[in-house]
Order: sequence, then structure tokens, then C-alpha cells
Amino acid sequence: MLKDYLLLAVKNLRRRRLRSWLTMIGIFIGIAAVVSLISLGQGMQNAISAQFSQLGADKLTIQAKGFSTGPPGSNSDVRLTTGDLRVVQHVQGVAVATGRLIEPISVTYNRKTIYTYVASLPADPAERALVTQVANVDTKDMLYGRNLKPDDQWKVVMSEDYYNSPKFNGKSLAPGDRIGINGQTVDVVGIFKKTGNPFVDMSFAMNEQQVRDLLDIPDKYGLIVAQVAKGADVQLVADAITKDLRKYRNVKEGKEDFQVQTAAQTLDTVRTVLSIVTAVLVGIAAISLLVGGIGIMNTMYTSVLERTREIGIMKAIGARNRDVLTIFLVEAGLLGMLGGAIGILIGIGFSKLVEVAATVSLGSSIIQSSFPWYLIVGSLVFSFCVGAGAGTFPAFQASKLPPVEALRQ
Amino acid sequence: MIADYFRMAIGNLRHRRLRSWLTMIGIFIGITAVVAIISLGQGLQAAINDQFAALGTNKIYVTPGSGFLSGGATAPKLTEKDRRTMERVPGVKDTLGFGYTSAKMTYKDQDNYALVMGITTQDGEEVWKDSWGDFLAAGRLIQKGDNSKAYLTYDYTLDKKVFPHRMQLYDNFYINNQSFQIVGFQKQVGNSGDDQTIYITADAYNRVFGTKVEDDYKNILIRVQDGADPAVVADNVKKALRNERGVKEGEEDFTLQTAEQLMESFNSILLIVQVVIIGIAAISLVIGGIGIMNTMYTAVVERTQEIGIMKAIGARNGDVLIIFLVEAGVLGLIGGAIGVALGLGIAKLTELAGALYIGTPYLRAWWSFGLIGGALLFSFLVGAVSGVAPAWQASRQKPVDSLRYE
Repeated sequence: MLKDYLLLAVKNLRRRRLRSWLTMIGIFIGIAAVVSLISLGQGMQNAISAQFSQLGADKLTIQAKGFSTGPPGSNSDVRLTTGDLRVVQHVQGVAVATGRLIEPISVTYNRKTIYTYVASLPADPAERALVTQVANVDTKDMLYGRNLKPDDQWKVVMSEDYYNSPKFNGKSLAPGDRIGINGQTVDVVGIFKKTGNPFVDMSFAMNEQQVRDLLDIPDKYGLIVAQVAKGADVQLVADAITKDLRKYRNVKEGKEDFQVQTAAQTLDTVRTVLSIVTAVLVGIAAISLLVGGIGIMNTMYTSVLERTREIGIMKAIGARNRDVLTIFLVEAGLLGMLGGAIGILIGIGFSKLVEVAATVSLGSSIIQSSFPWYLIVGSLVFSFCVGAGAGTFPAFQASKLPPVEALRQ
Repeated sequence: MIADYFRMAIGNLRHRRLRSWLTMIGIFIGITAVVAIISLGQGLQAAINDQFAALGTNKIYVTPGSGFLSGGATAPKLTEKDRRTMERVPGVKDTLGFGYTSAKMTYKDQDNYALVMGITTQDGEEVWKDSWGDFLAAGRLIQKGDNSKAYLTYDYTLDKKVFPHRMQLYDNFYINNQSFQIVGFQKQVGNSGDDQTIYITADAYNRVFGTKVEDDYKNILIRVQDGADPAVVADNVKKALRNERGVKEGEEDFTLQTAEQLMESFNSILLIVQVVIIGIAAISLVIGGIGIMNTMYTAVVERTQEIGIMKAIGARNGDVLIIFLVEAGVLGLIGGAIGVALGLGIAKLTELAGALYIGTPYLRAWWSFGLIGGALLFSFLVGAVSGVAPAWQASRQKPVDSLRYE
């Protein structure tokens, strides 16, 4: 029965081939735009989520409150100290906690000075492991040279960015080179693989004590990172840290001058922003679907008009109003769904193209396309609904035609 | 003659009223979206440019650091010595140095963290008055010798924004537990950064934070002498600073931007965003155009006999072509006219809603005859171009076949 309706619809659409095609183009352009925007938006979210999961759901970051235009803690009068770190380390449920200093420096080599950041590495092995994990640096498999040891004096390691590109008057850095950092002579001992995080890849890593000596920072930390013990609830530990730090820093509840953030919270913020941007763009693109739907309505009205006599004959040989209604509805829905199917294919192709173009030109995998099954099925159902919805009025009109009048036309 | 073509087109369109309406809806939705977006985008740009103009186009901004990523935090510092160097450059009238930090402020036992700016009122007072004077809402600006006075911004004059209760002129509050009195408030600028900043003198800043602003300016503002070209002065300042700091050309560890350059970079970012959004909205215009094409093809088929008669009584191919082209163009034009009206209406509504509910001055409806004329012309062209293929087909029909068609 349903199959008959479908066959009839296909036959009718083929009879007016040009008009059917033009109507479908209207739908498939719209669907292609919506599908590719959603696909790229979703892909970007996945890429960002993946980056965050490296940081791990079991990590907490603690920062001083306030505005910041540079790296954490660089532009604030409120600061975290070594004392705060000790407090955090003693909170129940904290497995490891470490402090980080990320400070601006000048690097001179081959008579050329550039400005970048130094990131501190703590002396304690467990803390050190936490830092490397959070920064996603592969210390086991260094690209060249060796990793920094806790007892190294005035030695640095950096990402392959500095090895690959000649940033110093045509020269790049390699293990064995001597460079000047803020006027202090320092030896390059190793190059690690690119992490993909631009801030990590542009920073020089040095042992914490030397960063403090070099920049004359006695006890400040830019941020504190804590790893929660296995099985402990991240949110509870975050609350406990907040409570203990409040006591130590002597501030009242609700007036904290610091902020404890879980990875999940940070991720949520980013996701929300991205969702809003995607929603706005998809909303604007969806206007074209509305226009496409009106095109279907127009086509269906025209075909009702053209087939008045046909409808009269159908009714004369026993078709009920409902049958006529279904015939026209299925036809309109099919127009929408076929348009949708082509649109999905084009949309997928387009976002793949954008992905490849972005990967080549940006050298980063942040722009990814993603096609979950619900996007494809959802688009098909949606385009069918657009078609059928647009066909409702014309189909209704057709079904209500009095057979005698229709035959007389 | 042309009037005849138009009259005929309208007559034919009215003949198929429902279909014509549906086709026009397709165009006007698209035009509405595009016009509303352009109107709001241009309004935003005008609002930002007005602010730059209020700050003065005779200003040059100097920041430490060589570019965007270094953001001022990584670079060697700009010091009093640099400022003195700048002041000696011909064409420079005077300069104003800033330091800023995020700090704790306390009002009626409530704490908050705000951006505190310390400004050098010693020599820079005139620059400060010139740039910020236009934004004064109440009281006065801070001035030389204000050791425990502060100039606050818009958000502090609102209830439940920064503090539960709005702050009043001459109220006392604390920065890092040191008492300050409010001597003035700034008008709304429209972004939370500018609307929550606290300004104090460099002397007060140094006392509260135990630093020396003069050793680490985060920003230096140069005022150019009347009649001097800011771009030329900027080049001279750059040269003088290079010499003094001993850096080579192209390796500057500081950045200079004239007000005009800042404005341009803002405008170009805005332009990119607008182009992307308008591009997406324009997809619906393409679809609307295809709708016109479809309608016109249908019309050609329906009027085959009519075309035959026209040709039989002497119409040339060109006449038939023009008749159908004008009809398609009029479809687009009428759709466009409705779309322009609706689009401007939506933009105006957005402006009102923005002023009422968000209180932002950045949402403004902008319009010009260029926008209206351009949108109308464009929609006529969309219609006419979509009509080309069907009209061509109509004009090529053989009169005998057409007359025989049923």
C-alpha cells in the first residue's frame, strides 16, 4: 500500500522532471549548508574535548582571581604562593599537586633576541610527572638529546618548533647550543616532539629553582595543578581545597580571591560558547530551508492545479479524500527527502574539503568534520517533514475538490 | 514602452496570485535576513568608530611586545626613559603612561576583583583630559595630586552589577585595603572591560601596589601636535625608540598603532564576520532565485498558446524574451521591496530590544539609500537572472507548434 503511494509519487515527479529538480535544488542547498555547519561545529567540539581529556577529568587547577592578559597569574596583584601549594597538597583526596610558573623571558642566540615564555618544572618526581602529563609532553621519547633532569643547572628543553624553523637569524636550536635567557647563559639539552598546543610549543622548560633565581620570584606560583586520588570525587576535593585555602589565606566564604576549577567546568564553558556560535550560524542557514519549503509548496499548488482533472477521475472511480491527500503528501515529502539526501552528500563532501584545507593551511587538527548517525538520519527526517509540511495545504486543497467540478475542468 | 512591459508583467502576476506570492516570499525572506544583518553590522561598526573618534584620531598607542601573541606580557618593558624619548620626537605634543593590574577592591564589606589603572598625571594630564573627557558622566576626572581619589566606570553606578548596591559620588571604598574616594564616573562604553576599570593616579598606584609604574608602562598614549600627520609621527617615534633601545628595523620589541590603524584592524575583523554571516544568509537568496526560475518555467508552459498568438500577430523573439524577463525581474523586485522594509524593521526592533533588555549601545540599526537601492537592484537582478533560461525558452518557441499546443 505504502509502496504504491511511493511509486505513484516517483512517477508523478518524473513526469515534471525539470520542475522537480529545481524544487529539490532549493532543499538540498539548504540541507547541505546546515549539515556542513553542524558537522564542522560538532567536529570542533570533539577536537577540543579530546584536548581537554588529555588534561584529564581527575585534574584541578587553582588560580588567583582577577583579569589576566598574559599567562596565568602574570598580571594580577593577587597571587598564589608556595604556602598555598603546601595547603593543597595536604588536602584529603589530593594525590599530587604542583605549582607552575609561566613567565615572559627574552631568548638570545646568534645575535637575535626573541620574546617568549619559560615554564617551570618542579623538582619532585611525582610533581614533575604531573606537569609533563598536563602539558602533554612526550618525555620518554625525546626527538633529540635528553630530557631535563631534576638536578640540571641552567639547562633547557623546548619543542621541535625551535629545531625545525630557523628563528634566530637563519639558525635553529639543537642540543649543545648555548643560548642567553634574560642575559643568563643556558645550555639546550633536548628537543621534545610538538604537542600541538601552541603555548607549550613556544615555551622553554627549565627547572623551577632556576626560574626563580633568574627572574627573582621568591615564592609566587602562576597556577597550581592538583591530581585527585583514584576513586575520590573531583567536586568534593575541589570543595575541600576551597575550604582549606580560605582558612589559610584568611578570606571569608563567598569572598575567595582564588578560583578552583575542574576540567569539566572549563570544558563546559568552551562548549557553551561553541554551541551558541554554531546555533546562530545554523539558524541563519536554516532560513534557506524555509525558502526551500515554500518552493515545495509552490510546486505542489501548481501540480494540484494541473492535475485537477486527474483528481476528478480518481475520485470518480472511488478514491476517498484521504487517498488523494496521502498521494499529494507523499509526493511533497519525497521531494523534500530526495533533496535532503543529495544535500547530506554535498554537505559531507564540503565539510571534508574544509577539514582538509584547514589541516593543510593551518597545520592543526582543530577543524574536524564529524558525522554522527543522528545528524544524517535527523537531516533526512527533517527534510521529509519540511516537504510534507509544505505540501499539507496543497494536498488538503486537492483532497477537497468536488469530483464533478474537477471533471468538468 | 517600458511601462507597458511592466504593466503586462504585473497583470500576469496578478493572474496567478497565489503562486506569485509564494515565489516572492522566497525572495523577501532572504532579502530581509541580508538587509537586517548589514544594517546591524554597519551600526556596530559606526558605534565602535564613534568611540575611537571620541578618544581622538590624533593619538598613537604604544605597547611593549612585538605582536599579537606576545600581548605585552612577554616583552621587555617600556620605561620612563622610553616615554621621555617619545616626548622629544618632533610632532609629539605630549604622552600619557599607564600601568594596570588586577586587584581586590572592597565596598561596604563586599569584595570584588577589578582592573586598576594607574595613569601618569604629572605630564600626561592634558592627554588624559582630552581622551577621557568626552566620556565623563558625573563628577570630575582624577587629576594631579589626587592621592586617594579614584575615577570609576559605568558598571559601578548600577545596582546588582558589581556590588549589590550602586556606588555614589564621594563614597569611600578600598583598593588593597587602602581607602579611596570616588570623584567621578564614566559613561557607558559597552564592554565589561572598559565599564569596570578603576582609574587612579600613578602616585596612588605605586603606593598601593608597591611598584613603580614608571619602570613598566603597559601602555603609552601619544598625542600628536595639531596639523601633524599621526602616521608620519608614528614612524619618527618608532625610529627614535629603535635607536634608544638598540634594536634593528623589523625587530622592534614594541608596537605602535595610530588610532586610525586600530580602527582599521577592528573594521577588517568586523568585515570578515559580516561577510561570513551574509554569505550564509545569501544561500536563501539563491534558493529564492531558483524558485523564480521554477515559477517562470511553469508560466512558460502554461502560456504556450498565448505565446503562439503573440507571435502570430507579429511579436518578435526579442519581445517575448523581454516580457518574460521583466516578469521575473518584477517578481524579484517586489519581493525585495517587502524584504528591505521587513529587514530594516527587524534591525530597528533589535536595536530597541538591545537598548531595553541588555543596555548595550552597540546594537544600532543603520541604513542608507545605498543599502536600500542596492538591495532593490540586487533583488531585481536575482529575479531577472533566474528568468533568463525560461524566457529564452519561451522566445524560441515556434508559433505554429505553440498554437497547436493544448
